[in-house]
Amino acid sequence: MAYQHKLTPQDIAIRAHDITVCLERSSVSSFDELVNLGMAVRLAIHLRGVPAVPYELLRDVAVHLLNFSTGAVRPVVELLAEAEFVRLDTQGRTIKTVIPDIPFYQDLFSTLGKLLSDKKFSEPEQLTLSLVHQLAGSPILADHAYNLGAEKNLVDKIINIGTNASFIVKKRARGKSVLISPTYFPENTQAYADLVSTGGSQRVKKILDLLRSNQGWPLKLLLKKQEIAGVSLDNDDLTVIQMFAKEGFIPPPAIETTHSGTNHFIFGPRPGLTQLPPYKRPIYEAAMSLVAAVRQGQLLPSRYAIHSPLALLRSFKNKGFIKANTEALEQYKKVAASRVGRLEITTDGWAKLVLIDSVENIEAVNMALELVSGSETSVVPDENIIIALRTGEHYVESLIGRKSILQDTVIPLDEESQALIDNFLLRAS
Amino acid sequence: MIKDTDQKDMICRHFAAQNYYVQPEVAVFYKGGMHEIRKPITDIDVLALRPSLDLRWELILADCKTLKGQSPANRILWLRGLMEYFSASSGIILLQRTQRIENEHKLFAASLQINLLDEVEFDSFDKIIVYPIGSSQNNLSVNSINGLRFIHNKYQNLKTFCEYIYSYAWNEENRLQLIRKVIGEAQTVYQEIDPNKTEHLALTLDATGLFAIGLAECVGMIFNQYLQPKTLNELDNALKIIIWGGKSQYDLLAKLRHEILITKGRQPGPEGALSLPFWDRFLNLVRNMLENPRLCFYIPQIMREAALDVYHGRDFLANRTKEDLLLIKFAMLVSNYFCKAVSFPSQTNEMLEKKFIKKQSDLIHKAD
Repeated sequence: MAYQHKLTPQDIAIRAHDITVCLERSSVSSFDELVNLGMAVRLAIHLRGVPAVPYELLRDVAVHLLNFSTGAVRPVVELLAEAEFVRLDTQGRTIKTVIPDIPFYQDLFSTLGKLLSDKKFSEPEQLTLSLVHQLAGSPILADHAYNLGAEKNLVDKIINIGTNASFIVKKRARGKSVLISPTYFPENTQAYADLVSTGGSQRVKKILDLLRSNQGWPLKLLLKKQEIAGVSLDNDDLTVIQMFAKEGFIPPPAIETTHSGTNHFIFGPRPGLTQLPPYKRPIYEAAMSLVAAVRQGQLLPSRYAIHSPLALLRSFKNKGFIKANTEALEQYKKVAASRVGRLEITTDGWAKLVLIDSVENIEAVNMALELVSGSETSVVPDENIIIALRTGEHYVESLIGRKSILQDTVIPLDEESQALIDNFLLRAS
Repeated sequence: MIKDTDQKDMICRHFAAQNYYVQPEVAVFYKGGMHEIRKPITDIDVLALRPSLDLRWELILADCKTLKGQSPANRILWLRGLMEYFSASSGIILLQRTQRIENEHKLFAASLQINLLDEVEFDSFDKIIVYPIGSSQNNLSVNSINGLRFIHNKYQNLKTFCEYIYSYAWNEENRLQLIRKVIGEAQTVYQEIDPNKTEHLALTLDATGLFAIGLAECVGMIFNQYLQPKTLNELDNALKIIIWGGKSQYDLLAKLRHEILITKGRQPGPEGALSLPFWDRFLNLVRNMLENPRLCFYIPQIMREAALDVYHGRDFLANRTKEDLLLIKFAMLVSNYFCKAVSFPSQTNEMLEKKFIKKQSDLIHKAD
């Protein structure tokens, strides 16, 4: 129980969900309640806002689209009913209809987490939850996994299960092994491994946390003042930060102005749990340019500083322009080059940035808002599955297609467990 | 000869067939009245609410007159005055046919957003608006609603509650206040409600419908202002400001409440801030509605239908189809919240919820 105590019910539910998503249809004999909880969270987020559903349809969606094993569906639905997240219409033992009433916001995680935290997770489950929770914050040196308080054999076993089931990625860099969560760090895994091998787990976590909540900070300013947003940094911290600006990560945007020269703006991990598809990379880069421009106005102004970058970006999104000022021409030059906005000269030396109205540009502004607000990554459902549940069986059938029989895979046992089973069988009469 | 009530029935059916929320015979009170017990100054024959395209309620007032010799111009000006007082968007005047209404009068009425019709014209008007057969098959009538409205003749302790929901409520300054006030009024009769009496279950559903009118207005405002608030905190703040009529009003009432609690020797903690009962559930209810805010404007109508079905012992929501599944679920969630918020016996909610669950399940499993 020592590992679990560090986690809140909400953390437990979110991590169980992360692990279950990575497991897909794979079974791990050491995981029991953890997988039930993860599946309950996964099903619940897809049932938000959905009208009454026939149980058979829900079961088909759970098995074919959410990768549940057939036998797991009923206990998971019953768990949701226990949490009062669904109402059931039953006839004897048969569930006829499921009526979802899933809370929005974080309630869902804490309620489900609390419901199961009373029940005992096995020791491998507790260790897995703790390890995945650590990895959600930052990649760590593999050696640090042994400091969680568990026996070495158990840690090896969980790392082995994690890498086989794809909820842990193990990389080698500078002669050290690094563990990374592909859920939270889906991109640049080798670069992160290099970073952790150089700076150490604790230091990288500190820097990642700082960069997440202060995306787009000017590198020159940070190196000069040796701090970000009032948090002081030592030389080793600065080395790690400079690594973010180098190979392996998305290059930081730069802005050149007559009053402050050329400045690079440093970004931490991108918010979001999925890998950025290649076609969205230009949109993300445009968002970074916009954030860099706003940070330039906030932290390196010529005369008048931007008071609230978040309010300015919100206004840009809602009104479609940023009011004219004398610094706009230099400040937003890169934003104009990325075609998110165009600079309109109003009077001599004054210009305003006007948003070019397109789906991609609105998405870029939304990404910029996410970056500046430092909003936490949240678990998002698959839109297709929600539409399937809202639309009914015809749509579900088309999604399921011919996948009527699915094969489950089983994560192989570690050598010690396998030897125990073999020994048992040898001695069996 | 057509009686006054027949005309009201015609108008009620006409509105109900268009899925408006209908309330006949609404007494009008002057807000700054002199008497402790409010005295009616006039009445509205039929009042209806319909959702606008931009998610607000629009109010329509109807005036029915069977007496001979009514001056159309006087009726037009009288109704226009009421429309101004209640901020109604349009009106209908239905007169008994003695002779054809002069065009000048009709044009004058139309210029003031009023349809001036006689009974013969109304029949054609109804069949054109509710195309092609008109609304005569609709089963809503003044008597069916009044049966419920006057259940206090049998259960006298429910009199003030019935008076509030069928009269006073319509005189509130704005419909948002209904959220707080219907809950407040219902809490005063929680000890009188007996879920084993079908009339009480029906009255609970009808009161929930009135609460849902305020809720719909609130959801529409939140949607127009915030779309779907991203955080619980954002929704929490927005709702408190909307429900209590602005930040300064909320702060004033919260301060007052705080001081009252202190004088009573209780130390209010931050968790005990001024809010509706079961505030977390209410936040969740509103967030649920924001998934389809337009549907929210049809909850009062389905609640009225449910109330009359229960009261008259008819099949529960018999005319509803699979298309209405989400609406029925919304109605169930609102009823669920309302019963909890007003502290009605838990069996009330259980019995109503069972009806809604069964209806949804039956619709899902019904062969197409």
